[in-house]
Amino acid sequence: MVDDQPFTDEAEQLNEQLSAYIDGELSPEENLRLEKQLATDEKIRDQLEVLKRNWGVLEVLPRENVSSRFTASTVEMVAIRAAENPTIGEPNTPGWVRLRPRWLIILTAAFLSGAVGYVASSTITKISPISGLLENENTFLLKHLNFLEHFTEYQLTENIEFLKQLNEIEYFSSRTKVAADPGIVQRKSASGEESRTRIHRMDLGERNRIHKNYLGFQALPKEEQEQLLLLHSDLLSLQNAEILSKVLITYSRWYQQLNPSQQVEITLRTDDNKIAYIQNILTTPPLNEKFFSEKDLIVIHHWLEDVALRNEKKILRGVDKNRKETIAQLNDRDKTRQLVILLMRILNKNQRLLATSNERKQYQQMKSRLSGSCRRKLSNELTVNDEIDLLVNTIRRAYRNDSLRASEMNKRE
Amino acid sequence: MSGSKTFLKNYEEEDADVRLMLLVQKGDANAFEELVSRYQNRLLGVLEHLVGKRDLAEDLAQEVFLRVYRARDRYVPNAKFSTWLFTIANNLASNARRSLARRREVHVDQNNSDGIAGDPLAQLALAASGQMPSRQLDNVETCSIVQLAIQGLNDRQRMAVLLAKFEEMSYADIAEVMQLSPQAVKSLLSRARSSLRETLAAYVQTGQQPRNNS
Repeated sequence: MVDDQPFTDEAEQLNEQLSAYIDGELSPEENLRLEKQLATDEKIRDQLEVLKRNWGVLEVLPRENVSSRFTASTVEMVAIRAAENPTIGEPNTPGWVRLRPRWLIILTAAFLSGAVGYVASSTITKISPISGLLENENTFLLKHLNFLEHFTEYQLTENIEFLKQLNEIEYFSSRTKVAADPGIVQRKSASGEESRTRIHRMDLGERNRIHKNYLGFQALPKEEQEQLLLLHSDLLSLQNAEILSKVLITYSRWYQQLNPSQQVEITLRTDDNKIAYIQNILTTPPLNEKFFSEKDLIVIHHWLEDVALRNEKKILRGVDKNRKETIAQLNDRDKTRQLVILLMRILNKNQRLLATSNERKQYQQMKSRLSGSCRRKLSNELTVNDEIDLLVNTIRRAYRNDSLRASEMNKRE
Repeated sequence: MSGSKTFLKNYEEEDADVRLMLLVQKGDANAFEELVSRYQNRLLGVLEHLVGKRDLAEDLAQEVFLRVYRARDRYVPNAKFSTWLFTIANNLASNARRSLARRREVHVDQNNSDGIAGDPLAQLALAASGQMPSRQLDNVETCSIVQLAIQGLNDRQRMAVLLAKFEEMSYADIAEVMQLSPQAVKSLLSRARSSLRETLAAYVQTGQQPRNNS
């Protein structure tokens, strides 16, 4: 334990200062003192150079890049062991952990590894304390995959009549005409084997989403479960099922972008009342707009553009190769717009990108240029993260409504 | 982004991973998976250098995540998430190394007959002195020499170097992970650098510099 004791020897003390200098850990006074020495003493400069070079050599060490399978197996192991042997003081293991082993078993066994999956399934069945239910759940998943994929959309839908009424509103019918087919109708007679193959091809995120949907479905009272399954089969039996399935998706996307109070209002209303309220929202400008003048939108947009350009590499890291190539071929303006769109998606998930001191400074500077009403609106938010969420969502909405006019977007302050 | 809302050190606000951990606390499976996915490479990288065996490092990484999960109910965000995670990793790796060392004692006599074969520092000295078949070291060889130099550090120095270099942790954070004072970390890293300087000196000074030098 002597290697962390302070140095007594002068040369060693100097070495320690140089080491801390490289790491940026000296106090301003120590920094100044050392830089004065460095300016006049070539030997010390050489010593610093050698230390820096050796530190740089460490860069050649390989960085790990483990597969998503390691992630899956880690989560699986944790789920199994946490459920098997809960620690003292953990009386209530959350639902997903109790279910997770079975679900990871189902997903890994049946879909991740194909034939090998069956072997895994039988192995893990022996481990799982609730293995008796495995077969039933597996069967349910394969049988109702098409429904589970759209569970959240079905939850927002009262009945077939509601979908038909939505389709009579111009906002939805016009979008439905051009919307991509969600494939609900095509998959109505998918066999268990086809469902199995489909899941096998899904990425981890998609599997997680379905897993979450399944848990959500399980948490519902039996009556509601039956009602939703009936709605799904009713939809599939209609002649215009394809159109109404698009309405189902379009409506869900529209609903997700409403503010929470609007969502609650919709949920509390029934039938015609609900349709009338939806129409009312569609004809009233969004609540936030009055807080953000056009100039505010441009200031926020320019800030996002600057963040996107400063962090281009980081933003493109998570983008697939084809899209990266397409973006690279765009002109500067379109490329920036694409980067801003990607940036907004990233910021909606996490805001780590803005955690550097420079980005914090830029953010504060941007805020100082906003109008008084806009700043007051921001001050109502609880955290800086909420502020950024609000700004990003406002720009997203402006993009959708095309209220950021091209001429204004190019006009930098 | 700090401003008046961060008057007290608010890890929940500043650290997205802390927010994920708080979601795990509430039972969010996806949040836990996201944490595993974010940290697995970093954790495995550090652990492999610490214990020197890939399979053991993988087992330890999984054990770290299990401990993180099991501690969720007691979790209070009073440090960065990465600091907390690497504290767990450091404790587990220390135990694993002790247990490995006990097992190695049994084989010491057999290894002695191999001379320098089992001694990374002796290998390094041989490489640097020019007795290796080729002095034209390519990047792969550079890498193995640096690995040997890292293995030549004692356990605490190695951990401090890995956290400082690859996790870019401050002395205060390293101190928290290793349960030392920041001054002790300062001394530890200085000694580690001296040790690296000595072992890499012959190599670096011959002009055979690695291509990736930063």
